[in-house]
Amino acid sequence: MGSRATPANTLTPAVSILRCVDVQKSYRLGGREVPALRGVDLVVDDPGFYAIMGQSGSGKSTLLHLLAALDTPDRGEIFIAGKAIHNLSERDATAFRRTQVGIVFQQFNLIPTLTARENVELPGMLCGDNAAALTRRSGELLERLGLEGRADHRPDALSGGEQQRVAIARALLYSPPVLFADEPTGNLDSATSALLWKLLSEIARERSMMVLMVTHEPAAAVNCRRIFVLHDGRFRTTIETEGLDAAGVASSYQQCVSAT
Amino acid sequence: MRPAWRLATSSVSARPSRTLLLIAAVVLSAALIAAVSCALASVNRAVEVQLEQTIGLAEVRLRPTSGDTLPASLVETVRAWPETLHATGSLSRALAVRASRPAWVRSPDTLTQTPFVRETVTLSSASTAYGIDPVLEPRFRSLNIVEGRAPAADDEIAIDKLLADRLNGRQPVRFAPVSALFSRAPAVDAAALEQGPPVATEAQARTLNTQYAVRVGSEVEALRSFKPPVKLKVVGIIGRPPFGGSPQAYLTLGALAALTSAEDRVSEINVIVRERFEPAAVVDARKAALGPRVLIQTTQRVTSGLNKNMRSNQLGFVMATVMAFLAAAFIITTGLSTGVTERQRELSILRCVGATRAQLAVSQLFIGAIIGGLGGLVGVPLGLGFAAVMTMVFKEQIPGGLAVSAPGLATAAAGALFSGLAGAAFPAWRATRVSPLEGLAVRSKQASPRSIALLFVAGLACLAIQVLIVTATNDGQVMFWAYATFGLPVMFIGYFLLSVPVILAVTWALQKPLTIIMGLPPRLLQRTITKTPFRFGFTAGAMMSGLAIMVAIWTQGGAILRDWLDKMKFPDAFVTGVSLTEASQALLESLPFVTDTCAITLQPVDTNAFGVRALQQYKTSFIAFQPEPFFKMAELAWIEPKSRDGQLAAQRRLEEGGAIIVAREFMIAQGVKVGDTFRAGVNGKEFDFEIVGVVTSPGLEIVSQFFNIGQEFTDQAIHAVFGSRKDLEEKFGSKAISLIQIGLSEDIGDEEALARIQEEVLDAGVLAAGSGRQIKDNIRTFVGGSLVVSSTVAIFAMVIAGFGVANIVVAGIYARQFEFGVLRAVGASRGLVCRLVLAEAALIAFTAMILGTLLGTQGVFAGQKLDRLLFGLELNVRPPPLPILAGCAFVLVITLCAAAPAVISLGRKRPRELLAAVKG
Repeated sequence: MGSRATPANTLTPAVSILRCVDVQKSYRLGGREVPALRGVDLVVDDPGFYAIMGQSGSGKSTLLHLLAALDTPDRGEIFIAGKAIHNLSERDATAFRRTQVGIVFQQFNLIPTLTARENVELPGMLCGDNAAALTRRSGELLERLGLEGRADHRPDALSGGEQQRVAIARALLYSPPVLFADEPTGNLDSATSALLWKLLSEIARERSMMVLMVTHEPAAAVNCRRIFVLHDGRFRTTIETEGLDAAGVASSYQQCVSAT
Repeated sequence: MRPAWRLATSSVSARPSRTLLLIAAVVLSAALIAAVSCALASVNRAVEVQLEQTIGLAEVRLRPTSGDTLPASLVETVRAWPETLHATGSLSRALAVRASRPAWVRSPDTLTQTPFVRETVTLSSASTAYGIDPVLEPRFRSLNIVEGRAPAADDEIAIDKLLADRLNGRQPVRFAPVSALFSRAPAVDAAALEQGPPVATEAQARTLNTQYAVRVGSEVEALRSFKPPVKLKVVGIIGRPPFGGSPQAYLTLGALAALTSAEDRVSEINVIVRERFEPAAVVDARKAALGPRVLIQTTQRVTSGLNKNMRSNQLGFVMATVMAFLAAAFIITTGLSTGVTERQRELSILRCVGATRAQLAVSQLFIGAIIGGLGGLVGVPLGLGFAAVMTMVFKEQIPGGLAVSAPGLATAAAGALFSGLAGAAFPAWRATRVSPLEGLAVRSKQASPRSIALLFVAGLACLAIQVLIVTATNDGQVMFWAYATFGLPVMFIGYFLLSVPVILAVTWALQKPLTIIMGLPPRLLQRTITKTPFRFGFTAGAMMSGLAIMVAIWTQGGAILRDWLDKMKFPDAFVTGVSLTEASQALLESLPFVTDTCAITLQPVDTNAFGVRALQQYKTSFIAFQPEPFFKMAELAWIEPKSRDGQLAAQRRLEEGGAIIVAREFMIAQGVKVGDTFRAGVNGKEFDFEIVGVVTSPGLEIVSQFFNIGQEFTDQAIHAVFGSRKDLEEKFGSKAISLIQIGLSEDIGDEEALARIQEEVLDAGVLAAGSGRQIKDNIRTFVGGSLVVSSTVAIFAMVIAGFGVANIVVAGIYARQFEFGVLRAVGASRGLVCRLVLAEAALIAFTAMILGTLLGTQGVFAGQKLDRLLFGLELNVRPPPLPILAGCAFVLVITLCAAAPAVISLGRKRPRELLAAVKG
């Protein structure tokens, strides 16, 4: 049971930001076939900050990986900003990840031997873009995220929150229409996490883009405008968070899960 | 390309110490090849310089077809040819030279206050003397005069530094040792004892002796048989010929001819041809008219033989180059592959943010190119510098100085780059296999049994290919090229691939005792190895080359000594000389302790029986002798015919002419037997002989090479056939004697006999005297020395591999930091963690020992067949335990030492530092 929202920025009214149709994915683990997604349907029309919530093993990270073209579904279709990504070639999927989508991971996943600035510029470097333009762009992003004084530090000299902000800056280098975040605050303390959720929300609003965060924490999901509940490889329901706090989200989530 | 380049430079600069270790391995490999190529070129140039000094500007040369002389009137005939611009004759004879001079020697009276007393010391030496036309000779060549000038008058002589040294003795002593081959023992002239100024110290004595040394302006004497000596004035000192050789002296042609009773004779005629004539055409036009006793050839023909033989030296160099860079490529492959594994997560991140497979692969190739390129950039000049130092240290033996081999340096540089790229190929492929998701997973991946089985099968297949190449053909030429170009490299690769299953087997066998010895928790060591067998296995593979070289050379060297040299029965004693005559033989026979003599002539003939035809030009020695005394003295073992009657019949047949006995090596290499026809050629003419017997070698061809009989630079002769002096004279047109074999009575020792022979016949055309035992000892020393030098190369190869081991250990520790952090966090001590890494290094070493020994042994068996097919040598290879054990011990030491710095660094890290490695 997905929901529709009004398309934003350059998208035409008929093009959703995100559309999944009957997406299925299984994995082979230790000799047995494990279904991770059993037929996911999802449509997001409007930009904004969204969350996918589910228990461990519900398939939320798997779904995120498929949406980010890190993997391909066994069946079904996926469209990002009108572009079909479920059947992209390896080369096209790589190019897609470089400029059309941003990805933020729980483990930050910065290159340890590069500085913060170089990590932000990494997708541009891979495209062979002009170095001066890249430097300018990365400087703007780092400034926006409060990291201008840390630009020349390597990841091991940055705190967890700073590293994650660098990862976000990297994801925003080409202003993609979507940004996927897989448990982005999983390795951060609560105070830093709160700051990060606020930041993601601001980014979604400022840039009129969709930020889709995978989380199992109600405290994280409450910052989103809508929560998609994933259970046992399928979307079960949607929770509108307006007027809810973390406890309220947790309660609604529990009810959804219990009902299935 | 630019993104891939940036990824590469970022990776290289982020891991400077490990990159430097890999570069160091390439540097040393490139330096080794550059040094060896320049050393070979320097040696070759020294020989070329020597030959150029001999040949000079002459374009055509006339010589007797064997060791005799030509009439001096032939010089005038040649000068009259319309194509001749200049012609000059020269004579070469053995000449004994003696010098008496005052010297300060230690007084036997130890109580005296003047420990050094003045005596007159007389020293003499045999030499090869050259009689030249002082007017015309400078048009052909200039002597390498280091002091003074060439002789211009009949009472003048120029001596080379070697002769000068011998006449001076290095340190004048009262009683010189009698074992010197070329110098007569000094005679102390008691009547001439004088007390000069008191000399208290050795330094003072040395200074005074230097003043009285034989030099320009000194007087020496030329000794003659049965005639009074002739005084000559030293007017010049010539540079020392390379690689020893006999002492040389230069006189005018007339003077030498008179001294050696060779008036109106010349040894060779050199010709400069007028511009409009081609030397080769002159040779073709004049050959027939000169007859069979005169050999006329272009000097280019002379040097082309030299070039061909020098090219054969290059062969070993080429094969060593291939092996050295293959080993370097193995090291780089292992190092970079470990890097790819260690950076799995980083590479996955790059894939996540949009790096293509091609970018990752190309970045690996760039890393390989950087390592190889920098390695070559540093290694080549380093090798060149080392070669320069060696030529300075050995400047007497290599008077031409350093020769830079441009092809050799280019090979070293290109090989370094190639090894970097080849080494990066597999890691580049692995980098393309990195999945964006799998690399980010914390899940550890066990090496698949399938891939290990695949390596095992592929490795065995490579070894099988090598065996197939060795066994498929009995044509030595085909086998050699197939083996050199394909069989040898594929064997190396096979053992490299087998390193992974072998290390698993070694771990299974040794992990329990090692665990106990090193005090490790059970199964930890085994689990570590089985988790990443490729890293550990390939590291062992990189280490095996040096040990394999050591096994091969010591096995081969031992077989040569045992199965070839020891089986040779050399004569009791012999004398060699440039101008031996029947009178020389008669003089020797008159000595009371000489039981028999036999005049022998060695004539190089073309047989094309041995060696690699495209690379080498080996001749065979036709040994002509007087059958009766020869068979009496020589301890030949008859292979065929076996019956006594058959052997006697063979001897009779020899004396009749048209028959030969061949050495056993012909039977082994060519399959010849009694009754077959054997063809031997001289100066383009071929003669057929009937084979009447097959015998073991008396080693006379070794004797001839040892004393540089014949045109040693151009005509390397191996093995021998035995024929009559009658055939020598009728077919080859020679009556010269190159060697007189001597039988000694049993009541005299070698050294005493030789000393007395030298005293009696030094002035009778004899250049040198020696005993069979001395020859064997000298060859044994030479082979032993070669083994030591080759072992140094093997050890050097192990040291190079040590850099690879160090790199892998560092990379492995880095990749497992978190694992070590967990171990430390749960209570493992620093020592335990360090011992674990050392135990892993020990397993690498043990695996390398097995691989290296097997590789070396398999290579030896291939070499055994090549020796038989190409050189007729039947060697029973038996790997010697002691050198192999020493090599294995060295492998273990190198591996542990290579791992030590990283282990010490690991031991110093706190658990928190190690655990923090999981971030990012």
